[in-house]
Amino acid sequence: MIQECGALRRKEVIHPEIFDLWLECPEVAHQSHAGQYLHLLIKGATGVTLRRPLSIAGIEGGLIRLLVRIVGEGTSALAAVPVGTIMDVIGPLGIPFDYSKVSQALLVGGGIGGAPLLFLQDELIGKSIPTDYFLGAKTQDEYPLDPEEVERRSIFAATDDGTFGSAGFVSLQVNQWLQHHDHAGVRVYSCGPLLMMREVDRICRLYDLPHQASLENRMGCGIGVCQGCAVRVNDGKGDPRGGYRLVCKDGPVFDAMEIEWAVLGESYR
Amino acid sequence: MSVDLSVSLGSLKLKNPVLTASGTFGYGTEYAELYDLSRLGGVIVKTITLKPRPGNPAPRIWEVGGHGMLNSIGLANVGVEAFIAEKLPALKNLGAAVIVNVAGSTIEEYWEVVEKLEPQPGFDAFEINISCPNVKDEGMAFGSNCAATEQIVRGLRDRTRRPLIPKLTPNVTAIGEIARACEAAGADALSLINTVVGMAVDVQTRRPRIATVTGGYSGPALKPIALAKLYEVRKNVSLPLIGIGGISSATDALEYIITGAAAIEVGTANYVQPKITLEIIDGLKHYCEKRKIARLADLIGTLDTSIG
Ligand SMILES: Cc1cc2nc3c(=O)[nH]c(=O)nc-3n(C[C@H](O)[C@H](O)[C@H](O)COP(=O)(O)OP(=O)(O)OC[C@H]3O[C@@H](n4cnc5c(N)ncnc54)[C@H](O)[C@@H]3O)c2cc1C
Ligand SMILES: Cc1cc2nc3c(=O)[nH]c(=O)nc-3n(C[C@H](O)[C@H](O)[C@H](O)COP(=O)(O)O)c2cc1C
Ligand code: FES
Repeated sequence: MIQECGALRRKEVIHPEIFDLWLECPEVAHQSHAGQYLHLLIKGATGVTLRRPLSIAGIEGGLIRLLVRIVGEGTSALAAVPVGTIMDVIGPLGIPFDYSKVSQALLVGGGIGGAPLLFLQDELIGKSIPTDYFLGAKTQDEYPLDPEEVERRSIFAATDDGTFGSAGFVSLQVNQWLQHHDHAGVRVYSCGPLLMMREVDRICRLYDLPHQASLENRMGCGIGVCQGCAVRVNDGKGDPRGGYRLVCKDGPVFDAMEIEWAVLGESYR
Repeated sequence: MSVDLSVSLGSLKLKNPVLTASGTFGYGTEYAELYDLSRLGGVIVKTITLKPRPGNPAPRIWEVGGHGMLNSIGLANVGVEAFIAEKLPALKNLGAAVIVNVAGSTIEEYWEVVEKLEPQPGFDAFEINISCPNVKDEGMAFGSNCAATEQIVRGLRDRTRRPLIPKLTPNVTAIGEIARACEAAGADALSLINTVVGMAVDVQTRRPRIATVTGGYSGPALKPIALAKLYEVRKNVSLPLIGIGGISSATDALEYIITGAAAIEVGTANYVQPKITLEIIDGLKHYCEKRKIARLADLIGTLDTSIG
C-alpha cells in the first residue's frame, strides 16, 4: 500500500454514464494485481467527505485503468476532472484474485462489476491459463465496454433485453457452458450485482466448482482501521457464526463459500 | 526560529499536540506503511473491551454529504487479551506516545480492562471511553450520568498510576458537570468530544441508512459543536483538555488550542488524508514562527473574549 499522486492521462466516454480513466501512478501500478482497488480522493467535490474505492481494471506501463460508472456526487465529480489533473490515490488495496492451480478460468461480470475482471483476464492470458469471460449488462446503454474491446477480448456479451450480445442473464450462459465442457481444473470468478453473483454461486455449488466473488461495500478508511465495511461471513463450512470480515482488507475478493448471501443483501441496502 | 511544540497533559509529555483519535487509527500501526508515525505527538488505539466484540450489523457507515459521516461500528475490537498479546508489542518502539482507549458495558468491566492492562509495558496513558451504553441502566451512556462517571474514574484511579483521560460525550445536557465529576474523581486530563448522536434516512426505501438506526456523527460538521463544548468545559475545570471534532487542518487545530485545548485528536480526516496529521504539525510550527511564538504551549487558552 502506498499513497501516490499522479496525473489523469486519458479519459474516454463509453456511454454518458460510464467512462474509462487512465492514471499515471507507476509505483502503485507496479505493485497491483487483479482484484485489488484504489482509494481515490476526489478533491473539491461538493457533497463528498470520504475517498472512493475503484477497482483496478488494468495496467499499461505506469498507467492504471479505471472503469467508472456515475452513480452519485463523487463519481460525477470524477467524470468532470480534466485530463492532466493530479489525483491522489492510496493503493493497491485488498486481496487479489487467486488463480494458482487453475487450468480453466470462467469470469462472470455484471455491469461495472466487469472492471476488475478485465485486469484478471489480462493476468490469466499472461499466465497462459485458458479463460472465458462472460460480461452482461441490463441493456446496451449500460454495457461497460465499447464493442471493439468486447471483440478484441473475445468476451461473451449478454444483455437482459438482447440489445447487445445474446439475450438473457450471463448466469444462464455460464450454466450452458458448464453443461458442455469438462469441469476439471475450472475456477469461477464473479463481480457484479448481488443477485447475479448469488446465482453464479448457486450454479458453482451445483457443479462443485470453486468460486471467488468480489464484493462491494461502503468504505471509510479502505485499509482496515474503521471497521465500517464489515460483512457477515460463515466459517467456510456453513456455520453462520463465522463473524464479520472487512471488504476493504479481508476482501474485496472472497471465497464464495464463506459469503452469507441472504445477510449480505441487508448490508447492501 | 525554533519553536517548541511540546505540551503536557498532567504528567504525560507530548513532543507535539497532535494525536490520532480512537477508532480512526486502528491498533496504532496500520498507517505506518504510509508515513513515519514517530512524528506524531501520539496515537490512541481503538477502544479495547474485556471480551472481543464482533461489532454491529451492516451497514455500519454512511457518508453525510460533505459534512461528515455516521458510524455504528459497535466497538468491534479483539478484546483486551488479544490486544495485549498481539497488538501492544508492536507499539513499543513507535517513537510517539501511546494511549490505550478502554470501555466496558458495566462499571466493573471498565475496572477489569484497566487492571489487565496496567502491568503491561509499552503505553503511556489511558483514555476512557465513557460514551458506551450501560447495560444495567437501559443502555444510557455512562458518560451522561455524573455518579456513574465519577464511580468509573474513581475506581480506575485506584487501579492505575498512568494518566487517566476520560473522553466526554457531547450527548448530555450539562457537559461541565460531567467534567467536574471526572476532575473530582482524579482524572489527569479530559478529551472531548466523542461523536454526536445522528441519523439519516433513505427516502426511497424509508429505511435508516445504518442498521442500528442512529449512530455517531463525526467529521467537519462537528467542529463548531465541539469548540463550544470545549469552551464550556474549560470554564468548569482546570484540567488539561484535548480537543476533538472535525479537525482537518492546522487552522482547525489552532481554533481548539486557542479555545483552551492543550492537545488535539484527528479522527475522520485520517481516512481522507492519512498524512494530514503531519501537515497539521508543520502548520502549527509555521503559525508560531510567523508570530514569533517560541512555545506553542503559550497559545493554549488565549482566546480573547473581550469583544462579544
Ligand atoms: C472494492 C470496490 C471496488 C469498486 N470498483 C468500482 C469500479 O471499478 N467502478 C465503479 O464505477 N464503481 C466501483 N465501485 C463502487 C464505487 O465505489 C461507488 O459507486 C462510488 O463510491 C459511489 O460514489 P458516489 O459519490 O458517486 O455515490 P454516492 O453519492 O456516495 O452514492 C450513490 C449510490 O451508490 C451507493 N454506493 C456508494 N458507495 C458504494 C460502494 N462503495 N459500494 C456500493 N454502493 C455504493 C450508495 O448507497 C448510493 O445508493 C467499487 C466499490 C468497491 C467497494
Ligand atoms: C468509524 C469511527 C469509529 C470510532 N470508534 C471510536 C472508538 O472505538 N472509541 C472512541 O472513543 N471513539 C471512537 N470514535 C470517535 C472518534 O475518536 C472522535 O471522537 C470523533 O470521530 C470526532 O472526531 P472527528 O470529527 O475528527 O472524527 C470513532 C469515530 C469513527 C468515525
Ligand atoms: S473501510 Fe475501514 S475497515 Fe474497511
